[in-house]
Amino acid sequence: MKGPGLTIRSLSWLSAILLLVVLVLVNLVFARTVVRVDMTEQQIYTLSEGTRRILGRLEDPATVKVFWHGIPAELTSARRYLHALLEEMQGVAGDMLKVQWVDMEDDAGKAEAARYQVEEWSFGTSSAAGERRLTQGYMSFVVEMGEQKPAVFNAFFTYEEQLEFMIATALAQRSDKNRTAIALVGDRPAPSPFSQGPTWRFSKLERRLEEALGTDLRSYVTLDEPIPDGVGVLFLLAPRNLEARQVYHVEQFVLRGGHLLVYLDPAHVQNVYFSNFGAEPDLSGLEEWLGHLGVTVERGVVGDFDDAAITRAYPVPAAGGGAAREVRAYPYWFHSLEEQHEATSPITGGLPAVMWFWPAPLTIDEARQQAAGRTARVLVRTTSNGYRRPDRGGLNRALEEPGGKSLESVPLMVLLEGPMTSFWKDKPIPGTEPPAGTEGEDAASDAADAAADPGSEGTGGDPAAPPPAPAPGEDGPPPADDPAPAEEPAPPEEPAPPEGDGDEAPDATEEAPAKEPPTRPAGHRDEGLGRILVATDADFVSDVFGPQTGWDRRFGLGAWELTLRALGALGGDQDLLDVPLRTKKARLLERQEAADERMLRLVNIAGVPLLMLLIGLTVFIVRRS
Amino acid sequence: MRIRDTLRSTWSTYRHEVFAYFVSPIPYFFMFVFAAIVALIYFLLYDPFRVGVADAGPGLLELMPFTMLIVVPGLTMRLWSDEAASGTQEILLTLPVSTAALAVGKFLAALTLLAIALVCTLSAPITLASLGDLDWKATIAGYLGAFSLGAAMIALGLWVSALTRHQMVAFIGALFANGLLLVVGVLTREDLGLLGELGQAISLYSHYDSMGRGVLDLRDVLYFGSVVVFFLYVNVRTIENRRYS
Repeated sequence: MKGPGLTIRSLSWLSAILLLVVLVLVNLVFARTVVRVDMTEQQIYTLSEGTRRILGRLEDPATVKVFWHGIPAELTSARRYLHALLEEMQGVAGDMLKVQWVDMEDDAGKAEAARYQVEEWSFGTSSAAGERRLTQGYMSFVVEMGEQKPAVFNAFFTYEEQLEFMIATALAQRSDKNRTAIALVGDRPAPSPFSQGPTWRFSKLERRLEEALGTDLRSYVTLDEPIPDGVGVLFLLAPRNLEARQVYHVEQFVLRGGHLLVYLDPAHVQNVYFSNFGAEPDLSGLEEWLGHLGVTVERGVVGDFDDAAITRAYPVPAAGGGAAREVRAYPYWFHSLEEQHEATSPITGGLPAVMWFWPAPLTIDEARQQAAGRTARVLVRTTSNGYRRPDRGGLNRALEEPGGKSLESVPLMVLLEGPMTSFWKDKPIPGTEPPAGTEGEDAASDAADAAADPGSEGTGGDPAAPPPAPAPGEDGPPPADDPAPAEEPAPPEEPAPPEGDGDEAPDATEEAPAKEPPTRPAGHRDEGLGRILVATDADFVSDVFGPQTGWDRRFGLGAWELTLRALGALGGDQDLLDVPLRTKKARLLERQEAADERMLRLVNIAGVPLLMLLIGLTVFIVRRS
Repeated sequence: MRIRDTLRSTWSTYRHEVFAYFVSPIPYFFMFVFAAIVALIYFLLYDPFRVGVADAGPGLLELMPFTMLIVVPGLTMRLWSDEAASGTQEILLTLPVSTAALAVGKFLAALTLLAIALVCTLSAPITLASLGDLDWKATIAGYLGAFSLGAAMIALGLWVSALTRHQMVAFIGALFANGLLLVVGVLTREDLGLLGELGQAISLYSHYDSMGRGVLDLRDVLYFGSVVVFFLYVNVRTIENRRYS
């Protein structure tokens, strides 16, 4: 009997091994098949239509090289996500996208990493015994296409939700040879030999934009000169004390058809927290020009007393004397949620959440917009519990309540589109010598202009023209389609006539026939169709308040997504606009009283389990009896 | 006809096992332990009120595999070993019921209990949904992932239980086997060459991960299905071998 038994047993295990082989083969066959159902409400793990279009329009083969080695186990989910994402992308792009996981075990892999300047990162890990260890590893990938400069991404600083956007932008940027550039201009501190690392408070955003946009991003553009022709979008990030000449260059860029994104930052972490507490806000220098366009940036700060305010610890008197800290909502740091974002705009539609830190109040002169034939769309506003705080005294410490305050929905970001006229129409251009005998006549002329021509912007309640900063021989901006080099100055004795509708020159000037037209640099424009997007906060994309790995991990991407969407929209790249950054929707829990929280905890921890135990005991007793 | 008979005997075994479960206080104790551990971890250690976000992923679905690792062996330990220890296995094997029907019936009964235990933990997402905008579809996908993972763990535990007549040995064996398959994906890295790739491929956690985030992937479903089929088959073979030896 032993013989047949052994045979049956052997056959039995053989069949089990056979089954195992079959199952492994079936799994291997389907290993390359991506059939997934993304059940998340926002479809955050599904390749977007924009990415599909970008992948579909690839004309030259692209390669994604992944350098991944020695990464702690807790980061393996990021690797899996990247792996799945690249697989899905390959499925759409076919042969036009090659993915290569570089073997980092041998020296060739490390040499290749060095060739792309891929850095080796240090990771702190804890052993089971609680010991801290430092390990070295690679966690980067490179997007390469032809001879173009490769884009190098550090996945360690890139959240999973951003990976698709980053790869798609890199591919889009390299596949479209006719894209216009984006100029990033900000008030950078002068480089110091004593400082280590980046000193500009927007260095993370800049680095991220460099990664995404590559050579599309021009960080070296200066406002001292006319904006170069190749620039399609000008991004002014927290500008400070711009001179009239610089503002003039911005304006002429807009009138020539350039698109402008401005993040003003009158109240920011440095002047609120540290030195200038309670002092006047920082001025950008754009205030008068924006005022001329019917957008007033008020001094003061916007708060929001809704639930979306961010909590922080306040010092409060302790019950038994002394001081304690209590976590309360701080109304001047708050979220704008999907309901406060203009749904019909590609910039803000569906954007789940953006955090704001001391934004300044905006006022839009609707009458002026209508008179100019322009639209002013508020893209982001506070809830109806928004508050225009007129000053900044005690802003950082006071525990404020909404009672007694006038609450309203306050605009935070506005998009101006349509006809615009020059602030310097009929005024001396900053940087040019005013013609003799015209000094002092400008203000009166402006007022007369405005009265005579309601379609004209005029200067309304604007103060007199900004003081010119004469610099004889200052360059003027080139016309939009004028190939003449920007460096060519207009001869002062032969002023160029203003472009645009000269017929619309106000009749009131007839009353001052002796007045000579002010000097006009070559290519000066008095009118044009413009597009300006203004937000009154820049802290939200700063290194301090931008995406962090800690407490604001959930929402920190919002401001970056807003920025990238704005740049995409202003740059006119619809495909990129359709690639979401996949910011997770802010699903905030309603705040509960401490007693209610305790009750909910108790019900969950004890209620259901005890119910099960009770049923079990009942069954046991019934059975025993 | 034979398939019909097999299905009928599977159904009979399933009903018998479920009845045996619910007339005993043990499954209620199992559900009490499971629901209590999940709730304790989520509401005391993770504390969604402190985090302030209606998301069932972190703290609840993310840690579910480790809770199940402790609880599932308790569920499967007695399924075969108790039969062997009490001598009812011999009687079972003489009945006109196929071994496959017995194994599948026991498996489905344990799976039913696990499903009820998972339902008991739904109080946490319900609490979140009552206070915020919970993504229910992603949460359900996470629960489907937990259910699939549980099915694989039960199949493995059931086989371990068939190998011994001691419940404690079955418990420790299932804990060790499931734990190994679970953590192999957490401990290995794919950049470790073939070994790392293999570790990721066979790991329960690697395949649960994306389901826990709300993505149902055919490959993950296929993997869990394969684990269930393989261990149920091995289970049947083990019992059959005992019958013939």
